[in-house]
Amino acid sequence: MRFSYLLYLAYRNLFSHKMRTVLTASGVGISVAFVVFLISFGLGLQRVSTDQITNLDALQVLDVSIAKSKLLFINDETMNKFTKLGNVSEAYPQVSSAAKISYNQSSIDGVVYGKDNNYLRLEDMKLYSGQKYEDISVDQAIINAATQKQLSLSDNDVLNKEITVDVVVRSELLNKDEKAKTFSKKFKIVGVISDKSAPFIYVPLHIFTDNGVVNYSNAKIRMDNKNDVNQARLQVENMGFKVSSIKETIDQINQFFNIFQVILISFGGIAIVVACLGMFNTLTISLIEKTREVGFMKALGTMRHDIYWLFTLESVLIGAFGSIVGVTLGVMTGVLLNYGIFALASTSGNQSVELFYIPIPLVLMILAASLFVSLLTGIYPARRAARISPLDAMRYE
Amino acid sequence: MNASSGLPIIGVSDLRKNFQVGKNQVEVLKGIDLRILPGEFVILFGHSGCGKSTLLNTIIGLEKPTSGDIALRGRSIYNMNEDARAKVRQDRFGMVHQQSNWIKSLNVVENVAYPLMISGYNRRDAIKRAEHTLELFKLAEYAKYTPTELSGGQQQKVSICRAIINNPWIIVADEPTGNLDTVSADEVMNIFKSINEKAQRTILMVSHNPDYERFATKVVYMKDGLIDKIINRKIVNIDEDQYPSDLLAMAKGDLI
Repeated sequence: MRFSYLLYLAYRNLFSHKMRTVLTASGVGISVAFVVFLISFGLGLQRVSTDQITNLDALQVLDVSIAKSKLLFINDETMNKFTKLGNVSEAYPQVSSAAKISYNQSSIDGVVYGKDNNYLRLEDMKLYSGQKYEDISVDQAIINAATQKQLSLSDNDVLNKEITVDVVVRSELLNKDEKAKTFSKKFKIVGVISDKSAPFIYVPLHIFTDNGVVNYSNAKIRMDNKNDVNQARLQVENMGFKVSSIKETIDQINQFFNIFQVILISFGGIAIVVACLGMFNTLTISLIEKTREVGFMKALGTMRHDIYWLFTLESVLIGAFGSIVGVTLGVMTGVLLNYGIFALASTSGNQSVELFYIPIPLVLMILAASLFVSLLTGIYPARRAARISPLDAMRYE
Repeated sequence: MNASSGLPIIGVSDLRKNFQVGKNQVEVLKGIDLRILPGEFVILFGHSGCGKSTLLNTIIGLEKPTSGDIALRGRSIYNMNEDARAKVRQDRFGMVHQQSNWIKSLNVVENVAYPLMISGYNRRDAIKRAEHTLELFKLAEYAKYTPTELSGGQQQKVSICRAIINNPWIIVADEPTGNLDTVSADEVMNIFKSINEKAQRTILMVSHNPDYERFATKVVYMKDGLIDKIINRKIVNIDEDQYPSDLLAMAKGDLI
């Protein structure tokens, strides 16, 4: 029999039981839609969180520190070495210290970081209000929102206010023979960043070096080429330093989301198994109903493999119909919810996110997988049908 | 294909068939020998359970015999595999049963065309030929009906259309009038008669009705799995070349 005719016959058989076909296909459709929805939710969430952390540029930056070593130092000499590594394009240090930050009568404990604009650029710092230091010869500071809040400064008049900072300089930042010391300085607030964790402020690096600091707390180095990152990392690690990068955080997040995806897919998988059982049931019932008909078809001379393919095709057609509807439904739900979130975000003035995301190749993969599963589901009933003995079947009422 | 050579179109030789019923072997056919020549109209008579239907099913290749053989124009069908026998049924046999069997999701004309579809015809040609066949039997107006919407007599006539659409050598009918009223039954029997006489197709029919003896050229009486007696009512010795090679290439009204 021609394949096109088998397809036609399968289609007619399904069409003559519209209700049953539609219900069975809906089972498949809903489960596929569920899987698509879950996967796009997982991927969307993953994308939102990694996007939030970084832009692609940040992947080319490594953080270098001495960890707990008492023998290593990051000083101007080491910075020079970093810069001279073949593939490093920029290297900048920072210093951190405990400090008391005061404004008017209130004073709080916090951390003061000495770092320049270049370092802030590598850090991809986002200002909430104000600007970076414009002239490092003037004593300027950038504070975070936690500091602002604890010093009771309001959004409107935080900029250009003068704060006093008492810095404690630990001995390991200083020359070998020097003891820990403190110094005090006044700064004009030029910028605020939105971080709300714990109070800290940024001041230009020279504030520390002017006060005798020679060893830095850590450094950032940047490679122009993403492919050089791993090599540079190895080189710096061989010098004894501890290296970390945003990539590790992203890897961890991705690892978490991979597990999350597996869990989501297993939930979806359960739905698909249930749908397949439904389909299997339908095919078996339809086979029992058609026993006599199949027997007669064989008596007329229909080949076994034609009967086999007829039943397999019925299963695949139900699967195809169900999964196309399901994939459309799943993708549409994601798109609509994205649109809803967008609308909600723009009315409430928040930043919008695309919470549901699914790449087209994955959609095609899901389609192919559900077709394959429906093919598998059809195999057993099809084999049973092909083995029906025509005489027994025609005696069957 | 000169029939005067005397080669039977169906040759049954020492056919035996046992069925396993519980622990017992039941002998249903106990050694049947039968020669059917091209152009014959053979009716098998016999009581229920005498083995008529088993003999018929064995001849069309559905029931493997315990021993003995069936040969179609000298070619044995039980040393082929199942698919090859299916092919023989596709090409050489037309079948009419007591109760019409339909592919329920297909309409009348598609059911009639089905045997052609099995052998790989394209759909348009098959439907065209099926429509032509229905026309020969004045059934064209029912082409788009669901078969079960038709009366019993009409359904049997559509079954005959389906049985002859592949231009078979032999038409096998298992009590084709068993469920019909006498008027429809006569009509159906006359169709078989004209297919036999005008197109010289061999007909093998199982019946309970002794009145039909008059249609037959050969009457075979069976009893307890054996042939009781054979009456040759008319000697058939045809030259097949003189008859249409395509059963359906007949003028409208010739067959009915």
